[in-house]
Amino acid sequence: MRLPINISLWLLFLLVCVTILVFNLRFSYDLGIFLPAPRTESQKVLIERLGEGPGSRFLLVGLTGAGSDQTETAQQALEESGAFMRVLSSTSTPELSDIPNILWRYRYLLSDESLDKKSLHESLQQRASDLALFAGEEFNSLLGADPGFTSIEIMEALNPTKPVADSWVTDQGTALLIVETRTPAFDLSGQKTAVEAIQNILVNVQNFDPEKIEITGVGAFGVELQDVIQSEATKRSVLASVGLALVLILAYRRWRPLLLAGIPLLTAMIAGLSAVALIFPQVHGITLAFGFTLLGIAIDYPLHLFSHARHQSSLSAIANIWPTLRLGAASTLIAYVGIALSGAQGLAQLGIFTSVGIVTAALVTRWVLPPMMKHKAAELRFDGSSQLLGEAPSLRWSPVILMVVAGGGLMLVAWQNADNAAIWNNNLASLSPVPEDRLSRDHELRQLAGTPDLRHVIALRNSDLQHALRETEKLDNDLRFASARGLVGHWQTVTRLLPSETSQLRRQRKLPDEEHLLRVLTHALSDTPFVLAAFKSFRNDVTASRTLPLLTKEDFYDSPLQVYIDTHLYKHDSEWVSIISLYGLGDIAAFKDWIGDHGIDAELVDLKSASETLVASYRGYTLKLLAIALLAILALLLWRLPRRRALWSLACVLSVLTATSASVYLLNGSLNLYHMMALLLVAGLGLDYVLFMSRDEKSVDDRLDTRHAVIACAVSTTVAFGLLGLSAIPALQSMGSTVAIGTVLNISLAWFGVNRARESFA
Amino acid sequence: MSKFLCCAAAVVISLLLLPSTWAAETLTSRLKAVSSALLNAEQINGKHQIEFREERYSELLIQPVTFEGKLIYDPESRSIKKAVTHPNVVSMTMNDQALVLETSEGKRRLSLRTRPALRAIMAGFRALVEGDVDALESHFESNYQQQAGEWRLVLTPRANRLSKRMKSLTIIGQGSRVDSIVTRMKNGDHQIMTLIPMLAERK
Repeated sequence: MRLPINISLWLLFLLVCVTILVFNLRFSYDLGIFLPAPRTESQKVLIERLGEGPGSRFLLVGLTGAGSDQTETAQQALEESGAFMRVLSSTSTPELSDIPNILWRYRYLLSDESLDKKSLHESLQQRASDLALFAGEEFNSLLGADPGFTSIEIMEALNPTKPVADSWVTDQGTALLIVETRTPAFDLSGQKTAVEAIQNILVNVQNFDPEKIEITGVGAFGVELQDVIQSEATKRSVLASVGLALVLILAYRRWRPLLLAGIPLLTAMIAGLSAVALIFPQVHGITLAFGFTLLGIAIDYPLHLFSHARHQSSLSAIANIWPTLRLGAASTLIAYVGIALSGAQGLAQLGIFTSVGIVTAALVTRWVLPPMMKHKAAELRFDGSSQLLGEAPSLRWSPVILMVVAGGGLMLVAWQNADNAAIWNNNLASLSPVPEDRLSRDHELRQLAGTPDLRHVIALRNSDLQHALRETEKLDNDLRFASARGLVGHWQTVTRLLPSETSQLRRQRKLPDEEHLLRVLTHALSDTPFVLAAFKSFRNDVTASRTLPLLTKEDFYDSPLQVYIDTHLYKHDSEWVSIISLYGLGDIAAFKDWIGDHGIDAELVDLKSASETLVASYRGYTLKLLAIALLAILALLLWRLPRRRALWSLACVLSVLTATSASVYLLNGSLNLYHMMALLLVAGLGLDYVLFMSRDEKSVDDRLDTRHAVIACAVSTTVAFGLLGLSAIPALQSMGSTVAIGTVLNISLAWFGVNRARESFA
Repeated sequence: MSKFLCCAAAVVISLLLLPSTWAAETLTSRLKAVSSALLNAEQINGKHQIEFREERYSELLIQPVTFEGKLIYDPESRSIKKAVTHPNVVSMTMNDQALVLETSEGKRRLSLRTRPALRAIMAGFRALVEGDVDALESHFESNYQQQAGEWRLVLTPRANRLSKRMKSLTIIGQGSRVDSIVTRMKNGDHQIMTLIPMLAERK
């Protein structure tokens, strides 16, 4: 049997797409790509450092009801596994043996400790009283080489936690350990390995009750999200498919349409996915989960065909409805291209996936599906095909006005009741599917351990590394004044380990020469119990420090201190950015002012507010796009339809958007970006319904078929998105509920807005 | 840093031996006596206390340095504290998990977990409190000598981590009294702690 040319082309197209998928499809679960492109300095830091900020590699492990023995055993087991950078507890203090060689060698260039007679004398007196507590060879050699304990001070200043309490146990008896992962927070496969390793060690090796282990932290949340997306995507698509199948069987009482309806949809998904895989290096899990959902609109196209093919051949049915279907698809395409242009890579993926999908679904419905439909028109034809008079359908404005008024009123009432709560929600957290209680738990544990502030950092930019380091040093020094005013507790800078060359040279020049040091030391030793001979290493090391080549960033490669450097200093677009991590912030506004008044080109970056302004500007941008999209759609409609019908159609869509937003606001409190994306889909669907309902029908059968099709579409969409709205992922929930509500309103308006008793007017 | 503490901590445990009687011949019975005597020892606010004077000998020093202070044992938390009052106020408190140092430079908590040498000493301490010969013997080799009225219990660490640093711990007494504790380090440093039972002093 020879295949028709269009079916052959379709099969060839599928083959190409599958080939692309086999070679190009890679998945990622990095949430960062769902954030829009940064526009301000703060936003830049937010995006650049997402998952690399101070403390972001920390996984906080809470052990409920674990005694100190158990906690300690757990820490030991985690440490011995070697799977992590380090495991911190409330008693973690640097060990002498942990002092990295580079730090030991450069200790006199890393500290401002003065080696004059007075300070040396004080140090030596302190060491004399330490003798009551310390003994042994290691102490003697440390004392002999570093009587000021300079190396220990430097090391302790690098400690990433500044605990407020002696023990890390919450009021509810949860003991805390901090695991620092080897991989950055955004590397979710590495984070997943780490989370699983923790669980495996604690549950299988240490026999902890898995119920009593909680793991929080940036990476842990990412891993949970990945798992949730995967399981939700599977579960929801199965549920939605079953729902759709039921609706289709109910509508057509046959199996065949059910199978055929899948063809445009599956082709659309494969084509959309191939396009994304071809354009982007990785396809985000959310693109898949949301994209498959948004493509639910593609099921409408074959339904229109099936309904109309009840009374005529499939080929004549498609010829009959194609102009309307094409117009609807083109309008939806405009809206989806809007999503693609919204600025974040994740949403761009989503937009491209759905745009390509919509075009594919429409084309497949037009050219591939009709030849595949076996049933003859005569078989299905039923009696009563009276001809309608060729008069344009009469369109009612009253339901449109009613819906606008009802929607506006509802919005006003809800706004009043919610104490004028913001209609738009800019909180990034509302986009993140991590439950609120998990986030606040993470916050609680972080407070207990005194980890660096995840929300605020100071960023200092300069194209010249040495200039950036010098400014950082000045700020490091001046922050003491802010600290005295209670504005900040502690802070950490890159210059603790990598001072500017100026500072290194200054310290080097200040170091006494051999002869001078001997004289100073001899004086300083008077009144202390120590013998001069004990400090031979000290004298040698100070002398050697005078001629050390200056320390550079590269010297830290592969040392345990590299992470500290990388956390606090990075290069972006030929600019060096020095990050100062902050602990125990007081009055943020006052601190911001203090930095502003400081005269250094540094900025207190509030990552949360940066994310909020980012979302707000993003929304403004998207609203503009939406307005443009609406104008484009209006232009399209005016071109293809009589003016009255075009205006009425668009008015219907806008009134449904108003009423849907009001309902969602009433239910949800405020609208987020996902609601907005869903509203875009509602607009596309609504337009499809009103276009079909208001088209010029040839016969009563045609009219019956149109109603049948639109009802089938609306019911299937409501069912599919209703199921989605029940999801635990906030984003899916937002989208699902919005689309379900919007669809119900869409069909109501399309139904009541067209005069049903048109024949009588004729 | 903690490694220096081994020696000092070893001295602290000897607090337990204070009011002991060494009449019995076997190590077992001697330990039992230590243990029970400890529980009956002089208490202030529920804590056993004793004053000490310690002389520290080291190649670093021109002449020995002398410290004075109190050893305090709290049976409730099973913690021991060496509180030095002269020439400077510094202290060290040790319990099951951690060691807390307080000096003029601040307070520092150290975990015993990563410090096996210190941990061995704590285990020895517990063995002494509980009169557990097996546990004590698993950490130290003991040698008891008696000459005229004076007796000595010489403890030599078995664990490599501790024996690398500490040579021996000698407890010296007369009759039912512990007079002094001598700690010798591998590098030749040593310290002699003389105990001054407060009860006796007050009488």
